Amino acid sequence: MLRLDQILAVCGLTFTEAVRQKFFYIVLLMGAGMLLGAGYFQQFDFGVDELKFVIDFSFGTLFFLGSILVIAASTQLFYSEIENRTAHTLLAKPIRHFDFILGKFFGVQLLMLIFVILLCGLMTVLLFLRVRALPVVEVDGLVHYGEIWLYGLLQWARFGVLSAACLLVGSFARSYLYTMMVSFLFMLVGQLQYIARESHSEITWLPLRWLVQVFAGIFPNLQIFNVGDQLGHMNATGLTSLIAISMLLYAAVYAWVYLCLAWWNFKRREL
Amino acid sequence: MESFILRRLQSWLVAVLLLWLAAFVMRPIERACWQLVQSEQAELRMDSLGKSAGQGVVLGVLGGLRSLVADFAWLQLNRYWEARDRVGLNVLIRLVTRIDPRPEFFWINSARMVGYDVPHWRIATAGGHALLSKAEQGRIIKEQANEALALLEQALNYHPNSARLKVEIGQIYLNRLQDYESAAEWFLRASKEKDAPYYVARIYADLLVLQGKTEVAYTFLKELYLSLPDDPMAQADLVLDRICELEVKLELLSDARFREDRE
Repeated sequence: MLRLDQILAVCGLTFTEAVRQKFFYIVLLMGAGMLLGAGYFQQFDFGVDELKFVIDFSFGTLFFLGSILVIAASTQLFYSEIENRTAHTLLAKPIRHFDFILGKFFGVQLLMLIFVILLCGLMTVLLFLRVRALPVVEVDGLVHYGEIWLYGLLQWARFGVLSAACLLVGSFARSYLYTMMVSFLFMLVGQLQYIARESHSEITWLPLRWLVQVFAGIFPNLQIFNVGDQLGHMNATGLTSLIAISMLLYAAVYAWVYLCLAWWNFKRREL
Repeated sequence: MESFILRRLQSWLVAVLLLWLAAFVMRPIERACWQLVQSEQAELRMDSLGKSAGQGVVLGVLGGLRSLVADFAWLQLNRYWEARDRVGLNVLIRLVTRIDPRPEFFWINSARMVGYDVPHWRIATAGGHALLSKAEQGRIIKEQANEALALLEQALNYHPNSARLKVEIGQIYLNRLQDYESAAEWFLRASKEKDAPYYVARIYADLLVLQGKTEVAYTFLKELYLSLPDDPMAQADLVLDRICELEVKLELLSDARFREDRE
């Protein structure tokens, strides 16, 4: 049985601690700076039209900085509790290991939600102003603003998977640096999982084939959230509601499994 | 010690089984989403393992920022081009087109550098146009043209319906290899694409004439003229002039001529 008040208490503490950290503001400022500078960087663009470049650049900023922030924040906020022994104090109170893990997860997700909302909001405003300044008569439909928020939502879901994976790594790791490095590697492997999935049928040596299959099963395919090319721009094809919901469900299931595993490991860990 | 190992093993087994179960349950959802993502991003389709891994990492780490990274790599590529550094140029071309294979600009301009500029550098390094035998110059030009063609054909994996890429291939066959037959084939392919400029079809007809296929060119131009829209850019008058020229060349009687047919 989940105890909501305890989860909320840990979540609140985690979030408060997160927003007190300078790192969050540095990443946020970097993100805002990059979005504001998109117009400047556009002069180096050779390939695509202006709005497409700005949308690509903005999505890239959210994707790249968000990934760094979620991994750094999850690792820091979870592992510091173990390193500083504050987890002892918390777990000595009637807070269960699972509530602690869930509280940490939701605290980080709340932080990421704020990050996503702020960047998507800024993206929307900047694109709106850019579109209005274009020397074209018909500006409606040049940018699909709703899809910018959809992209933000999907990235938030992806951050959830990453955050849960960080907690899993942190639940058995013995050092902060190790947790951070393994979490980054996890992200890379998740992005490349599709290669294992698609190439295993071509492998003729059976043991290797099984190994690749197991490997492909363990890691989620994070590349499915790479939908920047399908969203935002007037030529973008968009996503159906069914696909968007499926992606959210996919992220939720994987995040839940990682959280359960993190709890399983954390409970058995000698603090 | 034994119990510690057993506990560890148990943890790992539970983890793998649970994740496997999740993967199994989520497989249909993942497949549907993945198909959609792949359909829009050619670079995510498996080409070769090494190449796919590289592009996967770039996409996975940079996401949309890869446009900018590719742009900066393109600027660096131009420095190599200015310095006439063939090796550096080839490396940067591969890098730019792998980081961001979406803009046709990178493919077309890279192919032009490889196919048109590099042969001159190589000839100059080998002693210059005056000293190097015609045969040797021809060999270098052919070698570079083939490299440029390979690059453009690679680009077609990402842009299968691009008229610009097909025109560029045709141009290389025409201008570098003087292979009119292959050039005509590519101009014809380009003319069938939606974004093809009107002149492509006219060049195809010219190439047919150059190959001595005047009658085929005549028939093609007649069909082309009838299919042209009412657009000044289509230059229907020019096509009609060409038709008349071919009628003279084919020595057609006045009652067999196209203009009379139409009237």
